[in-house]
Amino acid sequence: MDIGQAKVPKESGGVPTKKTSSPARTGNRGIREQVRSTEGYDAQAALLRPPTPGEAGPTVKDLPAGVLILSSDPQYTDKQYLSWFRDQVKAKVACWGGAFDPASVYLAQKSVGPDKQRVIAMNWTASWGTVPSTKEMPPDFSWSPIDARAAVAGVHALPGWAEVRAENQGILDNMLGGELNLVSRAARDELRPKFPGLPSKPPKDQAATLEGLIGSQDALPALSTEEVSTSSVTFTLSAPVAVKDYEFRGKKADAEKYTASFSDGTRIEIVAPKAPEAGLHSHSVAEAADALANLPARNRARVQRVVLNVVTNPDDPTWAAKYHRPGFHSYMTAGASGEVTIYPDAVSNPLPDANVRRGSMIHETGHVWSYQEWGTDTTKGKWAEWKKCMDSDKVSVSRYATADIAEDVAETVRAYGSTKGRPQYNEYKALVPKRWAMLEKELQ
Amino acid sequence: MRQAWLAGALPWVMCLVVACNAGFAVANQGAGAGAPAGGTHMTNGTFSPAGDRHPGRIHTVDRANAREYDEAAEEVSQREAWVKVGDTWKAVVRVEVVGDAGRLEIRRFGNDGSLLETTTMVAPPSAPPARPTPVPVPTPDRGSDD
Ligand SMILES: [Zn+2]
Repeated sequence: MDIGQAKVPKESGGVPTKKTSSPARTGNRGIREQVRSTEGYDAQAALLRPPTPGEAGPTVKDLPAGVLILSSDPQYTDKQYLSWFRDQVKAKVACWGGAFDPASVYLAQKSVGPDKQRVIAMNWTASWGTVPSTKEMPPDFSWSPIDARAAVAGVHALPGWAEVRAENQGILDNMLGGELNLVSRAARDELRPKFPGLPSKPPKDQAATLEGLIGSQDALPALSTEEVSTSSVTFTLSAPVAVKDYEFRGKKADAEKYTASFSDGTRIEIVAPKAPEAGLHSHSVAEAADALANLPARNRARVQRVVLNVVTNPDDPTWAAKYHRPGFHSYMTAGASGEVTIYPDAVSNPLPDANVRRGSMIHETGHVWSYQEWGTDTTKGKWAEWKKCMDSDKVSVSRYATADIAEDVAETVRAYGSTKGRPQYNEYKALVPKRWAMLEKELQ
Repeated sequence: MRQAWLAGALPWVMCLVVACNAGFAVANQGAGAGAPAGGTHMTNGTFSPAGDRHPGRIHTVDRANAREYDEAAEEVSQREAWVKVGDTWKAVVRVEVVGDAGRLEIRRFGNDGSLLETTTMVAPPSAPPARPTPVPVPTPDRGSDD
């Protein structure tokens, strides 16, 4: 049985559980088996009475409404880790004033097809607010779905909540209550240290602190860096065609031209140096095509060619000096002609990972798309419409987005393209509803 | 004494070599039809590599450094003043710069207001990276037997 193949419910983070060996192998670690198969165990009863030590855990078949899976990782689904998981959850709910019963966290078994998978389960406590819609916790142990619900419950319990304007209550619920998105995580992290001091303050001061989160730069993530893993198209690469003396930026060199053919019918040329320049490395042709595959279709339609440049951007020294950013180097250029240039870097520097590569391409082509589609005057037409949406939404997807309207569009396009098909998408739809509605219309 | 002279002169010699190389590269770039004779204009932005004359001024809105200024095309390099879009050289007349500690974006616009290109620069790896919250590692409760 390979439990790594277990299907993750759609409402979870969408991140597949770590592929691991079967639970039986945990016996190699010398840990006693504490949980036996308990076919027919009434999972609902387990909600009321967690198993006592030594007792077999319940079989959780279809995850009863109030049960969350804290971990399915066979490395940790053992009783000796229970106290660690209990401490983790306790810390999360306690910072929002929530009480915690250690018995609510227990070992259980989950049906995975014909097999059983040992899990660490938790019965939701009603005083923590509504049950998260994410039933299986993300494998990063951030407990963000629990944190989100507990934060909202904690804030609602403050006398000052009633003093928060109704329109802002909805915004704060979405800011603090997003279970998986990065904006909500940042908002909670901003409020968390302030929260313990709030109950002793007058209600109007409590309300002011809460409303102060809206529009605060400190309550936003630096960049929109949601995981990009929603490629809706596949691609094939042609055999390379040799090109003599291709005019790369800053240097002529022999090149190879590939054609990436995407399953939506798009064909994009990718040019790579025949041989890398000594001391430099760059993304592969396949990685460039992968980034293209992860673009929203409208962005991809704007790209004619990707050039993996043979040398670093010759403008780097000038720009680094002129704009007071010593050592900065170009990563990507997106041009009006539909050409995206990706620059190499010194082999001693690690290349940006897949998420940066995909996300940067969404962001940069988002600029090209918006200027070409909406025109050059960012105070008129669709740009003005977007500005109205910004004013109505009040929240931005990142601090970087607040630089100007063009960055707000590009960063929101990045969040949109990154989360499509995942639960975070609907969380952003609630966070920046007007902008999301506009993008749904413009990018569909 | 002789060594000291060499040490003092070396940076100047290096600069000369770099300047010669830069001039050579730009001159090569500007070998298109219609390029004005003589090399003096080819190192600055007055003319495109194809010989088109720049409208004259480049306005920069540098939000990353909270400043705004004008430059004459002749005060900047040819590469700063011109962008090749397809087969055509377009004059840069407006530059917008945004950024934070880890990132800089340079958006360059043409005479008709259109976006010519946008470039993202990133911080060198020696700068403190923005680290995600470390993933906690579960630890067993070794002392407990329940
Ligand atoms: Zn940007």
